[in-house]
Amino acid sequence: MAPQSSETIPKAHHVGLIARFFRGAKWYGAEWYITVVGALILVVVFLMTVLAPQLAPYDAVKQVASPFTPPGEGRQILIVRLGETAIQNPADLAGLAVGVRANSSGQFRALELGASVEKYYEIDLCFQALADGQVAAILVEEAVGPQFLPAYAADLQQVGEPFGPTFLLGTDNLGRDVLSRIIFGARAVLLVAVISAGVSALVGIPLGLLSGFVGGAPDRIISLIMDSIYSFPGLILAIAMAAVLQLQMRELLNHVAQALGASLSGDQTAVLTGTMTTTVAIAVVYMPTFFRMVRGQVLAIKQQLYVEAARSLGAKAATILNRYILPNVIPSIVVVFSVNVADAILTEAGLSFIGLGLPPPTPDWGYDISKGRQFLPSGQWWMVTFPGLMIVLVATGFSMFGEGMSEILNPRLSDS
Amino acid sequence: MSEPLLQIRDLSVEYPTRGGLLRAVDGVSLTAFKGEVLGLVGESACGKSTLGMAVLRLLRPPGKIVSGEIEFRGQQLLELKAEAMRLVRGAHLSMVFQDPMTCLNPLQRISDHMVETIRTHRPSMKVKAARQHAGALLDRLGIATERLNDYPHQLSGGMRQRVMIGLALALDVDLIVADEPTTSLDVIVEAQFLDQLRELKDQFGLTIILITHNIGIVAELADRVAVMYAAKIVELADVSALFGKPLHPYSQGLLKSVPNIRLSDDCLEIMSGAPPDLINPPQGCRFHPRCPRVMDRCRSEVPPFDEVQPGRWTACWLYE
Amino acid sequence: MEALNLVQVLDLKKWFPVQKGFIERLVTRERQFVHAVDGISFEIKRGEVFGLAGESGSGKTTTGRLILRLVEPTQGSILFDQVDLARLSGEEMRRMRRRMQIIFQDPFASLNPRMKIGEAIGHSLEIFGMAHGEEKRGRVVEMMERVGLEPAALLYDAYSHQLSGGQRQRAVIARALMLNPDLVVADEPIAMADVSVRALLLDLMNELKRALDLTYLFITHDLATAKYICDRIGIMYLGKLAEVGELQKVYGHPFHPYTQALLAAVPVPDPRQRRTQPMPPGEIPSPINPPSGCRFHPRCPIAGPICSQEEPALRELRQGHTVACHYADRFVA
Repeated sequence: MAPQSSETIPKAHHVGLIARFFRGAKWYGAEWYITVVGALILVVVFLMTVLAPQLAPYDAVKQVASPFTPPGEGRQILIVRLGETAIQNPADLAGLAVGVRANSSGQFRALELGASVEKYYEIDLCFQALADGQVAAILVEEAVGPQFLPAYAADLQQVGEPFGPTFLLGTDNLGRDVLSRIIFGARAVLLVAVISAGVSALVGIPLGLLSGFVGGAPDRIISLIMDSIYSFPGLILAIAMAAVLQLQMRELLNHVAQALGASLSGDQTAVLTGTMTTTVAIAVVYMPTFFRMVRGQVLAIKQQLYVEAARSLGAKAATILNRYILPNVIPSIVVVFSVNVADAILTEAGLSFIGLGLPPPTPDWGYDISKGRQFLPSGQWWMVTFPGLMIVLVATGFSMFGEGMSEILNPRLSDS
Repeated sequence: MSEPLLQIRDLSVEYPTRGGLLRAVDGVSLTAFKGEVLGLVGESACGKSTLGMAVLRLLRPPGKIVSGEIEFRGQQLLELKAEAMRLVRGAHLSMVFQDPMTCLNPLQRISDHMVETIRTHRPSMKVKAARQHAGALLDRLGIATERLNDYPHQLSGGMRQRVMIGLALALDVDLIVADEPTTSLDVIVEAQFLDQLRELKDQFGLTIILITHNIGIVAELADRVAVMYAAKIVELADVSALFGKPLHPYSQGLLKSVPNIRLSDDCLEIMSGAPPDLINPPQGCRFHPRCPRVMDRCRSEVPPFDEVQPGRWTACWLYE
Repeated sequence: MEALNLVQVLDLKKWFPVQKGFIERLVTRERQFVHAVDGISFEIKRGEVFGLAGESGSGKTTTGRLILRLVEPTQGSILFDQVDLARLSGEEMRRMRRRMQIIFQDPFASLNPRMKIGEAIGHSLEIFGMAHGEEKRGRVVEMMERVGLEPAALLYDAYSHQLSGGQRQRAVIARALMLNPDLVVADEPIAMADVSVRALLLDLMNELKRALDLTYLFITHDLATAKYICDRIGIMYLGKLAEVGELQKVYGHPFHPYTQALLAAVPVPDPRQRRTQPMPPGEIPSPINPPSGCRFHPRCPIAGPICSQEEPALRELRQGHTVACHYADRFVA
C-alpha cells in the first residue's frame, strides 16, 4: 500500500446541480438573483406559450369589443328613458331595438343580449335617438357615455351598474383584446426564436468544432464563409433572406404536405410558410455566432495540457473531440444560446414589424407594434406599449438567464 | 545590538470567504532589527505573504487588518491616512514580489519607470538628475547602460528582479519586504541574486524581511528566522540556532523534510497530515493534530509565544 | 532476450521556427529557430531512473515530449525497445503509447475539468479496449488505492477542482500507470506540490517503480530532490548534454564547470555551509542564437581558445561518466 497521506476530502464535497442552485444565493450573490429572475420570466413565458388557450380570456383573432378600448376599460352602461320600468337590467333587452354607437362594442353586447341593433355614428345622435323614442334603450361605453348624460338629464337615466367585461390591456384598432394577442403572440415569437436558435446551433456548433479542431485550409475556408455572413447587419440579412425564401418555402411546404398526404388550407399554408421563412432566415443570421464562439473555444482548449494528456494516453482524434473538447465547450454554448434567443426574438419582431414575418392576423408582437404605431399620436398607446414591453421582457429574461447560468454551470474552486 | 526598525504587535488579518471568516494572520508579533535579514518561512497558505502585504498595507479587499499595530521608525503605520502611507511606501518601505513580470509596467521602459518612481517621491529632482541616479543604480546592479531603455519583456527574469531591487533602492529605503523573490528564477540566477542582495544590504544598510517557502535560501541569507504555521508564528530564533536545534515540532519536521544536496545518505522524513483549515482551525495548538509529541494540554489550550530560552521564542507546551 | 537499453536517443534535435511579424518576415531573409534540443544522445536502461536536469531553456522538457513523440523531432532517432519511433505511422505510434506514459508538471491543468477523476484515470483502459464498465471501475479503484487516493470509491466520482494539489498529482500518477507502461516520463512531477507533499510523492514514485517494474525519465530543475530518486543523471544546458553519469558520481565529482556551478548554486538548508564559490556571470543565452563552439564558453571560468570554436563531444572520463568539455581532464583526480 502506498504511503498514506491523511489528506481528507476538502470540505465542499461535490454538490449536485440542484443543491448548488439553491445554495446559489449565498455563494454567487448578484449573479444568482439575476439567473433566478431570468428563469422565472422564462417559466412564465413558457407557460404562456403552452397554456395560451387556457390563459387568454378571448380569441386573439376575432373582434371582441369596441376598437381602441383603453386598458382596464370596456364596460357598458345601460341608459333608458326616464320612467321606463320595463327595462331593469341588460337581460331585459331581448327583442328590443337598442341603439349603439357605430363600430362600438355596444353592438356585440346588444347582440349577445338578444336585441336588434340600431347604429349611430355620433354618440350625440345615440342619446338623441333615445330621447326621441326611436330606440328602447342605448348601450354606451362606461368611458364615454356618462359625460353626455347631464345634457339629457331630464329625459334619460342610467339603469343598474356598469356591466360587461373589461379588457385588461385594452383592445386594438380592430377591437381585438390586446392581452389575448400578447399571450398567443408568445407562441409565434418564441417558437420562431427558439427553433431558429436551435437550427443555428445545430449547424454552427459542429462546424465550429470541426473547423477549430482540424485547422488548416478547411478551417480557413469555412471561417471565411462564416465571417462573411457575420459581417452583415443581422436584421438586414434576415430581411433579405426572408424576402428571397418566401417562394421557396411555400413550394417546399407543398411538397412536404403532398409527401405526407396532408392537405392544407390557404391560411395554414400562409402561416406555415411565414414561420418557416422567418425561422430559416434568422437561423442563418445567427449561425456564425455559434460557429465563431465554438471555434474560438476549441482553439483555446486545444492548447490545454489535458488535451495533450489525452493524446499521450493514446486517444484518437474523435475521442479527444468528444470527451475532452466538447464537454469544456458546452457551458459557454448554453450561455450563447440563451443570449442568441434573446437576439432572435428582437430580429423576429423586427421582421414582423416590416411585414416579412408571420402573416396577419396571426398574433405577433412585432406586427402589432407596427400596426399600432400610427395610433400613438392620437393618444392610444396601449397597442404599442404592451407588445413592446413583452419583447423587452422576454429578451431580457433570456439574457439574464444565459448570463447568470455561466456562473452556475462552471464548477468553481469551492473556497475562492 | 542594533535598534528595532519594524515592530509588529499582535497583528491579525481576516478575509471573508464563502465558507466563513478566514483568519490569514492571527496575533503575530515580530520585530525586525536594523541591518538584519529576517527570514519568514512557512508552507503555502500559512499567512506569510499576507503578513508581508499587511506591513505595507497593500492588502486586497475584502482582506483587512482587524487588530494589532505596526510601528515603523517610530510611526504607527496603521494610523496613517492613505496618502501619508503612500509616502512611506516607496521612500522608506518597499516590496519586491515573486513575479517581476507582473509588477513592471510592460508599456514603460525600465529607466522611465525608475525615473517616475524617484520623482514621485522627490518632486524637486530634475528628470536628468533622476535618470542619472537610476542609471548609476542599475549599473551597480549589473544591468548594462545599453539596456536602460529596454521594456520589461526584453529583459530576462533575473534582470527584471534586479530592476525591482533597483526600484526599491532608488529611494534609499530602509526596509525591503521580499516576497518569494527567487521562486521564479533559475538556481544559478537565484544564487547570483542572493549574492547581490547580501552585498547591497551591507552597502546600503538595508533591512530585509525575506518571505519564502525555500528553507535553503533562508539558511543562505537570513540572520534570524521566524517559522510560520497556520497563521501564527511558531518559532523565532537566530538562523544557526534554528537549524542546529529547532525547538518547535513543526520546525523540526519541516527541516527534516527538506532535501540537502550535500548529504549522500539521508532520507526525507514525511510529516503526516496537512495544514489546517483557517476558517475553523483546530482547538488549542494548531499543530496538535499532526504533532508527534502532542500532549493533552495541546488539544485545548493555545500555547503562548514566549522567549523560552535566551533569544529563542516558540509557542509550544513542551517548553512552558 | 530483452535489450539492456529501453530507450536510446541518437543525435536528437528539435528546432522550433520562430514566429515573426508580417513586416519582419518581409524584411529579414533567413528563418530563425529556437534550438530547443540541439543534438543529444543518451540511453535509459531498463529499470532505472534516469534524471534529466537543467535550468530553463535547457531543452529537458522538450526532450521528454520528443521521446514520447508528442512533439515531432526535427532530426535524430528515438529507439524505444529497439523500435525507431520516428518511423512509425500515426496509428502505430498511437498504439505504442500503451507502453510509454507521461506525468505532467501541472496536475490541475493536465486533468480534464469536466471528467470525473476515476474516468480520467481509467480512460486509457477504455481507449485500448482493455476493460469497460464495472471491471474498469474496479481496476481504477485498485490503482487509486495503490497511489494513496482514498477513499477511492468516493473520490472516483470527484472532479479535479475538488481535490487538493497532492491528490491531483496522485491522480495523474495513477493515470499514467493504468496500462502498466514500460517507460514513464515524469516532467517535473513534484515541482508544483507543497514542500511537505513532495517527499510523499517521491516515496510513492519509488515504491511504484519497484512494484510495477517501471523505468523513469525524471525531468527536473531541482537537483536536490533528484538525489532521492535518480540512479543516473544527465545535465542539460541550452539544448545539449553537458555531463551524464551515475548520480552519486556526478554530484560527488562533477567534471563539467556548468555542473559544478549548478551544484554549488543549490541552497543548502544549513547556515554553516553557506556557499563561498562564485557563480558564473550572466544568464542563459537565448536558444535562438546559441554561442558558437561550447555553449557554456561565454560564462565558463576555465574557457580556453578552443571552446569558442569547437563543440566538445561527450566523452567518457570515468566508467559510465561522460562529459562534454575540452578541459574536463583537469578535474580528474
